[in-house]
Amino acid sequence: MTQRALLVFACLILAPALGACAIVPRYARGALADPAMDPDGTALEARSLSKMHSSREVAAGGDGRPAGGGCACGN
Amino acid sequence: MRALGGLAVAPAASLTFALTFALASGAALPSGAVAQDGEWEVENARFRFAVFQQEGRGVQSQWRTQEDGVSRRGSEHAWIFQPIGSFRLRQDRNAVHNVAIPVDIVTAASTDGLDAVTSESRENEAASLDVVSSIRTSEHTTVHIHWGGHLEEYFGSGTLGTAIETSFAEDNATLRVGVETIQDVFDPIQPDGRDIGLVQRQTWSVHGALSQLLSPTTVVSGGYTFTGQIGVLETTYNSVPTFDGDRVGDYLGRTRGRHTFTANVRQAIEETRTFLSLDYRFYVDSFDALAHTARLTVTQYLGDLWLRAHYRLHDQQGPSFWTDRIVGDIPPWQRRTGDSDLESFTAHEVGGSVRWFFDRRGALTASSSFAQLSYLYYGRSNSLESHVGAFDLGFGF
Repeated sequence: MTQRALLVFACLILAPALGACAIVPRYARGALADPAMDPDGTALEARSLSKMHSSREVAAGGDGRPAGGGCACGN
Repeated sequence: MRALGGLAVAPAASLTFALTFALASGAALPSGAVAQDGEWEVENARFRFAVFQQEGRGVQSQWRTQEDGVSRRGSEHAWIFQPIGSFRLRQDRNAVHNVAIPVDIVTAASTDGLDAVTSESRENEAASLDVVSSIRTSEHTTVHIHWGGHLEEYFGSGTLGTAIETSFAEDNATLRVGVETIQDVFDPIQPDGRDIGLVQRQTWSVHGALSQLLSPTTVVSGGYTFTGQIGVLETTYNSVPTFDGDRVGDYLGRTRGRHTFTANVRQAIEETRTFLSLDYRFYVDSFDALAHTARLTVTQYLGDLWLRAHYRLHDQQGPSFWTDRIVGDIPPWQRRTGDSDLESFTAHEVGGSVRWFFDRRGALTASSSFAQLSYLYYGRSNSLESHVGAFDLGFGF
């Protein structure tokens, strides 16, 4: 199960490299600029849910942020 | 390049948007969006008020041996009220500061017999300050500095970190690497109410993230984070029931290493104004805990509204030393926990939101003003459910 998951993850990671040759010009990036594509547009919601998950699940930390630093729970 | 992302959100995804949005719409920003040197401006302000209602049964909470001699899990009932405010301040053309101030008010954080002698878990109020300053140092490079602090009853912590972000391949790809540290100081109230003085926990992490445009409507990103911890790791007022009806405090050891891998694909379907996002996260740590998490988000525009729905699946394998009961004379150095949050379980989450852009000023951007209502349900296979309702307001200036 773990090996299969890692394989899927590796494929996802390698996907950008495979597509790296296709340059998208700046004028063609309008759809990518929509707020619906913007994680920052839901940053407060993401922060709130991240705390909910990190205090109720074993997998705290990651996503660029370490565990700890809020609530003394050892999750 | 204007960096819109910050350490406050998942950096890989944040980078993706910083890359695409800034380059695609920089010329279309409101005329006042870029401050002149020496003039500070508030670019946007956002507010959120969320209410969590939780019901569940856990080993660490009010485990009781009933009159019939059978032990049952105790209640994990709790209400959580969470107001948050955030502001984006532009200092000049090259420097921007994202400031967030979250507050948590929790009733019955983990109610147990401890409350007979302290109020440690009966009620809990917490507040944080989180600041990410992003400074553009060259056309393709931005440096982020993250600092902040957290205070709550018997607990305090400080955070300091930095990251560097650079774009290449005609800004079609962005790479980000960073380091971060957290110093926690807290009062380790024991399950029997004893106070043994302040203790510490130190956390370091390094992370890297890469994002890449695949087409005018597709972005992918991936990242890795290692987190190392040293110090008192357990929730010190948690305990494990013993076979003879007593309780022994949790002990998780004094070091822990965590690895997290993330991947994200975002797809826009312009013809129908539909947006899809698929996230996957793999977690493994030195306690032999392991978790897979996947989330699918669909956003559909209807005029000035967006309707968003998501489903999240989380499956975790708890630490090898998790147990719901142990012998009473266990050596103090032997790791154990009965925390239901660390148990093996599967969690399902479904949620939806309606966002109304009431001041779009032309094309929608990250600064468009909005009001949003949202709800989600979170349910675990080991008897815990949460209902979350929230109202969000965002103002662009």
